[in-house]
Amino acid sequence: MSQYDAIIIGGGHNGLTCAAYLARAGRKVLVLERRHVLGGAAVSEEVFPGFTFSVCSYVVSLLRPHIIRELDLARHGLQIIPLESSFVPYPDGRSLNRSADPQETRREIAGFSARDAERLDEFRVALTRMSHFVKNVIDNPAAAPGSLRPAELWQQLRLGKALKELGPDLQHLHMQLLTMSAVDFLDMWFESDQLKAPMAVSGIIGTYLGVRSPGTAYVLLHHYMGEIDGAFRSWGFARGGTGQVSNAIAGAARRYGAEIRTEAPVAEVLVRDGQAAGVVLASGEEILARNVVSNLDPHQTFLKMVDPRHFDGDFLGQIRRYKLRGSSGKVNLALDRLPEFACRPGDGPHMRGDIAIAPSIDYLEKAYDEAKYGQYSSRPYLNVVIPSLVDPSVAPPGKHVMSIFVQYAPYQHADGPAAWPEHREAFGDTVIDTLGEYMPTLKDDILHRQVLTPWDLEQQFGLTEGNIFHGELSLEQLAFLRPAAGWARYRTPLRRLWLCGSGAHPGGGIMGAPGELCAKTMLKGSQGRG
Amino acid sequence: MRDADTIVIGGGHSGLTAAARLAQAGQRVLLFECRPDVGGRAATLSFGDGFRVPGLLHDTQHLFDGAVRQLRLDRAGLHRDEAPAAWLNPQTTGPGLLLHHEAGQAHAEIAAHSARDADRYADYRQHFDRLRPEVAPLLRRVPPDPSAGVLELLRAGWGARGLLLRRDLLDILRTLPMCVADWLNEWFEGDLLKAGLALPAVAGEFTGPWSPGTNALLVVQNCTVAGAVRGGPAGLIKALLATCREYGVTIRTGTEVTAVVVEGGAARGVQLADGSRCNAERVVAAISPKDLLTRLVPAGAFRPQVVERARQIRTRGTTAKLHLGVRGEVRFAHRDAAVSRARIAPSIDAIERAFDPVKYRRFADRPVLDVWIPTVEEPGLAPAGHSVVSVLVHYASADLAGGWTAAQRQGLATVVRDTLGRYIPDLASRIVSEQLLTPADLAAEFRLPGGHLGHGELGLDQMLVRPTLDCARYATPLAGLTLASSGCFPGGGLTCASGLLAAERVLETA
Repeated sequence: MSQYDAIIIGGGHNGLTCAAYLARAGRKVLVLERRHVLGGAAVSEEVFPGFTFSVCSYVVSLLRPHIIRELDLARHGLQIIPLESSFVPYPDGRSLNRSADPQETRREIAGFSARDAERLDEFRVALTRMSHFVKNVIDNPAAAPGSLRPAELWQQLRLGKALKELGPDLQHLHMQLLTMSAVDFLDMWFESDQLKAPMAVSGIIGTYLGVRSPGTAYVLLHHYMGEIDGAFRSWGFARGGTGQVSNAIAGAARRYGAEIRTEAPVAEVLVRDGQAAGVVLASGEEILARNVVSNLDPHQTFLKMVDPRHFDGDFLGQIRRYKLRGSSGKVNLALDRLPEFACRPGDGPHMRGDIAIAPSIDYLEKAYDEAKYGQYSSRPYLNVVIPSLVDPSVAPPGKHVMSIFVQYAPYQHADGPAAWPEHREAFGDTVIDTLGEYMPTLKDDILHRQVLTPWDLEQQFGLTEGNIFHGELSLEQLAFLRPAAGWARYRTPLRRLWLCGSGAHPGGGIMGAPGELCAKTMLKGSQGRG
Repeated sequence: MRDADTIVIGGGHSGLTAAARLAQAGQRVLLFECRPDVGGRAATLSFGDGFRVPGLLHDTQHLFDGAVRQLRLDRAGLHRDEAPAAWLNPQTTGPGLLLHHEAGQAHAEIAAHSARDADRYADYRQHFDRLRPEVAPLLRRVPPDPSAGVLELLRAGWGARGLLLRRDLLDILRTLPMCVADWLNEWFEGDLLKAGLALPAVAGEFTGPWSPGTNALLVVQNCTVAGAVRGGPAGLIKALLATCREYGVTIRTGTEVTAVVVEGGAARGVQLADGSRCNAERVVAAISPKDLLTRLVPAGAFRPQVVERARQIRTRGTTAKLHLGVRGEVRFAHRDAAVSRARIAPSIDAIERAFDPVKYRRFADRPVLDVWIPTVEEPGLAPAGHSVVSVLVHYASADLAGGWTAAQRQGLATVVRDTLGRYIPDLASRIVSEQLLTPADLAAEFRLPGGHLGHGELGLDQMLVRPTLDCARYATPLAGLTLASSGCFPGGGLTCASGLLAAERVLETA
């Protein structure tokens, strides 16, 4: 007898979101998390005494506003502090700070190109209009082209109508965004390398592509999605660290009656009569449920949790070739005091947002070139945040935490992934050296450091190949192809097994969308059957 | 007073095709070509002492059947091989891979490297054989107008129904935005095979095999490939020229058009470099759309946005050309028989590494090469006892950092000769003539702004909407002005498709 309507494997933010929505609809839900702490890659941990880190994912990117509302996350302790600026220092001693103040930003950009400063508004307007269209895509299950079922045709018609309403110019722009490289796209608007480089990096975060690789323009939109959701940009800190997003969602789920167990690693999905019937824990304990929902990535889910004989060869082939190429690492620093930028000293507003080491297009592209052949970048792209400046709760008084996202660090190291531990400290040194060129005192200010290579991300967080998005966000793995053609609607070929993580549409980042859409799809399916 | 019904600017393969078609329909056609001979990128080039290369480009295997039939080019002497040509991807230490197009013929050579690949190659060819009837027609008709009504879109959908109703539609859609490296890795394991198959999908482009979207070009090429034209690109030009003559096209070579004449809001003729002017009912421009729209049409004839979009067409050239006149026969190492076509690309990563430098405005120190030895089939192209080696060199930046100085030119020629020399023993000592055309030379010589050999890069966006949103269906916003070059849909190569489709558009509205 199943005790639960659904068991959710993995207590990451999507799994918890899925659980909360199911529980909210009255379903009996159990979440099983392998680690002692909830959140998956959206987790806060006190890595060093007194210093709390958003160990992996460090900013809230596109958490859907309706999820915050529907699950009443504010009541459960979620507080998002928007990132107020984007700062880039350059090797020549100059720097650029883009902030929420449009006039100030224009003035800063005009220091590099007056023409670019003028074009910024036009660019924003166009991309914001595009974002409205894209919202249709990420807030709904993926369309199913080629399907002739009335419901599918209806959805395609609606999408087609939205596309038509854009008009030819924006339709064309949309097609360009989907297919062009971030650099080529930005070249159509701007001339200064200093502006284009930090803008272009949003197109490559978490991907195994360069800023000149076609297909990277699309993610530029993500920065404008936030605007239409009501904030300056889509990025922000969660007070208490990113784990507070997960904790708030878990709080909501519990309030709706969901049960959550930590330190309960699942060994496999139980299959009975050709359908998922529950799970077996590593301890041997069996728990039955009417549905099993996996918040793990597609490789973990289909290649490790379920006996392959339950899937046909074509599906397994699709899953095996589904690409999860980790390309990034993370360095977390506990700092004795706040370091300064040589080019812009002090703890001004530029220190409170995100800081990019992305001084030129060529710098970024060279970083990628090294990664293509299995080396970590000798001068990587860094995205640095110092959350303790805006949220003192995460560090002892006067001390700071710094979180550094590092790209590129290819999981497929030339010496093999397992060689990463040998390279870990040297990799960490490279990161500190790179940032140290701009922050001369940094090395002396470090109390502790945690270096996470893509191999570590796989070991510690179960992210296959260290891919932070549960699979590359490339066109051939998005929408109706995520994670496999014909299986982009959270269902899987094994009846009553569902996929609710970032490996499902609309993909990675702290959005909550796959979890929510999975739950809503499950609920819709069970309406008739009660 | 009108000098012609239609003036065609540009006597390359597209211009000749458009001119022939319009004349065939009864129009009086006047064609201007700025070079001394017609043919453009397909014309015969002479170098050294008595050496000739029958075309700047090598590939005639994507010629549009419809153009051959419509213009009856076979009656004008056009012959095509029955099957696409075999090519060799040589090795320095082994026999390399000689790949025949047809799977049965290819089996033994592939199997010598990988038995698994040999079997899979048959599936690979079948994949395209099945796709071809559904994809090829889409590349040979005027692209649909997305801003037109539902009826137009339904008509386009109906035209593509074969594709849209395929059971593996989703998988086909998946493959288009992929990079060739990933897709070929799904099929094969052998480096020589994968690299040789990948090269044409990136050659000439500002992309490497790891660049997303390159697989679309691979699909397009494999869905349109057929036998090569005898005599190469020059053979095609010969037939087109004969056809133009037969239908009475007037051709003026060595005549530079300096502007399109606009009167009463329509293109009504052209201004020539000698100051004279020719009038016509309309103008068909079979030259670079970027050059035409930004330079030859008077300011004010278009909305500024039309010109701005034309300026944004990406046309970065990455190909150089080296022509060698060689004493004696040219034989690849470890090969007994003469081979006329080779792709020197040891692996996917070797292609990618050759691509990397152009991003920083340099040229590859280990270039990948598309080699054609036309004298194997046509010994008359060289003095007796000699051979011609024609090499398309990838990659070299048109916009080289520091410019194409004599030292840089020498540097490029040396790395190409050295690369060839590794595969063709005792080549260096037998070279009697050499001609290097850098991407910048090609840009100047063939009027290719930016240096891209196809009048516009073939990134997915520029394939789907080509050359610009305003001119994507050959007609331009200026009445009487039509585009016909490879800068238009379906782009690239010596297909004659854009020339024919542009002429058909003119005839529809004339």
